[in-house]
Formats: sequence, C-alpha cells, structure tokens
Amino acid sequence: MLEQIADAALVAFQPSYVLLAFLGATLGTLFGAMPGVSATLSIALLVPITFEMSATTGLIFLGAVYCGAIYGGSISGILINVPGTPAAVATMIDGYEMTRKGRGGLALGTTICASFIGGQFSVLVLLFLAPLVAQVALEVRSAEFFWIVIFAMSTIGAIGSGSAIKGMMAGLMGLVMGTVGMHPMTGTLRYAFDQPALYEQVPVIVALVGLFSISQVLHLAEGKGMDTQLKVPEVGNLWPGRALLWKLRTTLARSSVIGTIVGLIPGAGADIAAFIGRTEARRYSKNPEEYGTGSAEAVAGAEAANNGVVGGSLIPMLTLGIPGNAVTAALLGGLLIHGLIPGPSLFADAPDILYPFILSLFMANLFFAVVGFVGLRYVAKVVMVPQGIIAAVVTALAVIGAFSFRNLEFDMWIMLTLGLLGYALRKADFPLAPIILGIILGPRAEENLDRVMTLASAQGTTVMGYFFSRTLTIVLMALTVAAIVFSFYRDYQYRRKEREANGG
Amino acid sequence: MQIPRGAAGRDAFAAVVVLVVSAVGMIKALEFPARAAAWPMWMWGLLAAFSVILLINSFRQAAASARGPAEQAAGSLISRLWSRQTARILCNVAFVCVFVALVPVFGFFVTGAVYLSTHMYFLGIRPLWKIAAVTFGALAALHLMFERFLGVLVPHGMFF
Repeated sequence: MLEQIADAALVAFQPSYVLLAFLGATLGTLFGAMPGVSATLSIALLVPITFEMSATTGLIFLGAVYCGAIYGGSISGILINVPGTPAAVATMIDGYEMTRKGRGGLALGTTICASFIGGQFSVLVLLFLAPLVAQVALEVRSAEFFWIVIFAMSTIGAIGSGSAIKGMMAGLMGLVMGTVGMHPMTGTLRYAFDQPALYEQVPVIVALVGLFSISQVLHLAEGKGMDTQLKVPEVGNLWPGRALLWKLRTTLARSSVIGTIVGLIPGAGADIAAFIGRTEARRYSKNPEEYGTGSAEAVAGAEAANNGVVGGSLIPMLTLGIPGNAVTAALLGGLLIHGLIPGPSLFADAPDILYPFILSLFMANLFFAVVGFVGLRYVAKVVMVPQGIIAAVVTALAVIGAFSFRNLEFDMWIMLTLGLLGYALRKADFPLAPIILGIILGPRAEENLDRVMTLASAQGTTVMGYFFSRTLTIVLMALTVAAIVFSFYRDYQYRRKEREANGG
Repeated sequence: MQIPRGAAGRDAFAAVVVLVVSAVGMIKALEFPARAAAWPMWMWGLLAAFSVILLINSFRQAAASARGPAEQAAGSLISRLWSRQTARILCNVAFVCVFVALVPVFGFFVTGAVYLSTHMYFLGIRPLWKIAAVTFGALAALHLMFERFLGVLVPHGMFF
C-alpha cells in the first residue's frame, strides 16, 4: 500500500493537479459561503465542469470542492448569522456571538484551523482504512450487500434529522424511482412511459441537479427584500495564536474523531457531526457556561467534527458504493460519469485514480485554509450576494448541468419535474437526501436481490431461508430492525415531548 | 373527527397524494412479469403503508391540537390557499418552467439572457445596470467555461 501511496504522490502533486485542487477548494469555499448554497448543491452544479475531464482530474476537482464547501459554510454563519450550509448551524451559534462581541476574527481563524485539522485527520483515516475495508468488503456477497443497502436506507430514517417516517418515506420514494427503466434480469421496461431517456434509469446527476438546485432556487426565490445589502462587520486579526490552539488540542482531536466516525454512518452528515462535536466539547469543557455566549472552544468542537465527516463519509462510498449522505451521493455521481463503479473492487481496479484523489484531499484542506487566512476579505463579499441573483444564476447552471450530461433535452424536463417534486416535499418537511440515495442504491439492491432469488431457487430454498443461512446477513437484518424500531421510538419520544410542551 | 390544518394538514395532504401514487404504481406493476414486479411491488407497498401511518399521525395531531387552546380563525379556505406568497411561488415556478421550455427553441444563451434579467427583476434586484451586468457576466462566463474551455455542449436553438 505504501508503494501505491508513493506512486500516487508523484501524480497528485503534479502542478496541474495542485492548481486544480486549489481552484476546487477556492470555488467550494466561495459556493459554501453563499447563504443557501450547500456542499451538495455546489458539487451538483460543478459536476458538469468535469464531464470532459479525465477521471483523476474530475475527482480531484470535486473532492476539493467538497472540502472547501464544508468549510465555507461557516463564514456567512459567523459574519451575518446566516449559515451557508446546514452543517454550519452549530458553528454559527457561538461564532456569530463572537462577531457581535468584536471577536469575529478569532472565530473565523479558529474555524479555519479546526476545519483544517478535522479535515486532515479524516483524510488520513480514509487513506489507511479504506483499502482495508475494501479488502474485507471483497468477501461481501449478494445477500449481504442487499442487506447492507437496506440497513443504510433504514438508518437514514433513524439518524437523519426530522421525522423518521418522512425520512423513510423519502428513502422509499428514491427506491421506487430507482425502478424506472429496464429490469436487469428480464429486460422489462418499467415506468418509462415510452421515453427512451428513461430506458436506462433516472440519471443520477440529473436527479441530483433537479432535487437540490431547482428546489433550492424556488426556496430562495420565496424571500422578500432580495436585494437587501448586509454590512459585513470588521473582524480584525484571524490568527487565533498557538496558545489558544494548544488549549483546544483535546477538543480538536475529539471532534476530529467524532466527525470521522459520524461520516462513516449512513444518513448522518456534517450537520449532525457538528452538533455532536459541539455537545461533546461542552460535556468535557471546563467552562460550559460560556457555550452559546461566544466560545472559541464551541466553534472548534463543531467545526473540526464538521470537516472530519469528509474523509469518513468517503469510506463507505468508495469501498461499498454506498454514499452515506447527499454530498457523497453527488460525488458518487461524479465517479459514475467517469465509468468508475464504486465498490470493493475499485481499490484493486483503479488505484492509480483513487490514491491521487485521496492525497489531493490533503492539498484541498491546506488550500481552503490558505484561502481562508489570505483571502477572507474577498471571500466575505460573496456573503452579500443577493439571493435573487443566486437563484437565477443557479437555475441557468442547473439547466446546463442537466442537458450536458447526456445531451438530451428530455433530461431538462426530468430535472424540472424532480425539482418541483423536491420543492413540494421540502414544503411538507420531507428530507431530500434519502431520495437521491434511494435512486442510487435501489437498482443495486434489486440486482443483488435478483441474484439471491436465483441462488435460493438453485439451492431449493426460499429467499428468506437463504438469508437466514448466512450469519452476517442475520446480523445486518437485526441491525435493520433495530434501526427501524429506534426511528419509531425517536418519533414517539419527540411527539410525547411536544405534547408535554403544549400542556397536552 | 378533527380536520388536520397547518403542518398536520400538509402531512395529511402529502400522505394522501403518496398513497394514491403508490396505488397507481402497484397497479402498473401488475402488468410486469412476476420477477420484474416483485421489487417495485414491495417498495410501493411499504410506501403506501408509511403513508397510512403519516395520515393517522396527522389526524391524531389534529385531535390533540383541538384539545388545546382554540386557534384564531384563519380566514376562508380561498384566502388560506391563495395569498401573495402563493402567487409569488407560482410566478417563480412559471419563470423556471418557461425557461426550460424555451431553451430547446431559442437556445440557452438567448433564453438565458431573457430569463436571468426578467427573473432577477421580478425578485427585486435593482438597479437595472446590476441586472444587465450579472446577466452578461454570467452568460459570458458560462460560454467561455463550458463551450470554449471545457468543450461541454450547451443547448443551442434557432439563434445561438
């Protein structure tokens, strides 16, 4: 493995890739800093740029965008109390309080350092753990893979924010959308409505652009006073100082680990990691009373966990082909358009692409830190871009993204339909990430179930009998049931607390 | 029985829509061979089951809120459904739909220029020079980046 890493370093540190990682990290930071533009949306909008690039080039660029966007989301939160991404909400609580007290520079500087440390730690874990997981995953057979997918989909409901029922319904919507097109075993066309564009399946990139761009555009366009110019406050010196960083070392280490572990779990994204990181920092803090009033420790706890998710979330995506959240689903779309099928054999089939990609993430983390420290005064200006401009320009980018994927006009209509569906679902408080995960994972689950059906019939047993004959499958089935039970329990507890709060 | 309103009403409406769509999906799946129908049937079935749970929850939520303090009358049904905000949302949807419909006819850049300027104006961006600058700047950047630099095909129509 070390030999492969050394070879990959020669590729990844070529000037053209270094420049590309810098460009990606800068664009990601700028996009992430714009209120309303999430990391998922950033990648969905920038994927078309990579269509004509080689796989290595495209992945290095998108990976850098991912790192930059996760960090960039905190900038608007700290400066104007409007989070650029949902993951920045936990950082914003204390970050904005620090800005109000004239310590905005310290908040921004702490954010840069914590994001950098969390990001680098998680990429280090990714570099050494992913190949080992891939080796183990090679032993996974169809029955196990089917249940891994079902388990992943059920945890999205259990762990994701909001109502568990709605989370699961959104996942099921994605799974039924995944049935559109030709059935792999029989060749039967399902729900294609005589449209050749739907014969294969709903294109992931188009679905991603529609669900996350158009629904967000309509959401942004709802607002009033679109041209309101906010004044970005003066923040002063950014460098938090070695003494403070040394004082925060335990918090930074703990949150980096938390972020990486949370990233591994399907359904739990950077927003959940940031809140857990902040809560755990508070639990072990010597000054918990300062939390919520402008604590640099709280900012560091949230932000290191937030960026720690990056490397962790890429492990199941690269080794099993299971994206844990919407951002990695977007990245997976980027892999698929370059003919790379994520899964256990990817590390064996394409180490010349994967290792340079992983090494480039170290550079991306470094570059957003450089952009943060050197160019923050310019990056901060995008915070003031009126949402009316963002909404209109994002629509234009979305149209190009949907069309240029297969050069089909019909894809623009798929994008629009899914965008309107996504907007309606947002209005009814349904999460969108499970839908895209369902579209990606549905066909893979069905394909593996089909294989199991064939194997079971060859052995003269039922499908359930086949599942119960394998230990790992039984464990995965038990975990799935536990996740579903936990989701309903969580929903029940939430409703009970709500009733108590209302005096009912 | 209390009719769900507000958030519970939205849940009930969503549940009914999903239930109907699931029923249609299941009926359609009956036309497929058994092997091709199995997975979609399960998925639609589960979706329908969760919709029923959501519907029941929304009615329970409505009953619970009815036991609480009486809410203020929210006006007539029409006034609740139709407001300036609803009109604004529908206008935004119309802008995006018309843009997508006209791109294949007039091409991305011509339609894009009209779309960007009119939608930004509608969204309250002023002064006009700012709209013109953003429209020109965005389209020029997209043309240079996608068509000249990256060689990615952008939809063209009768003009450009």
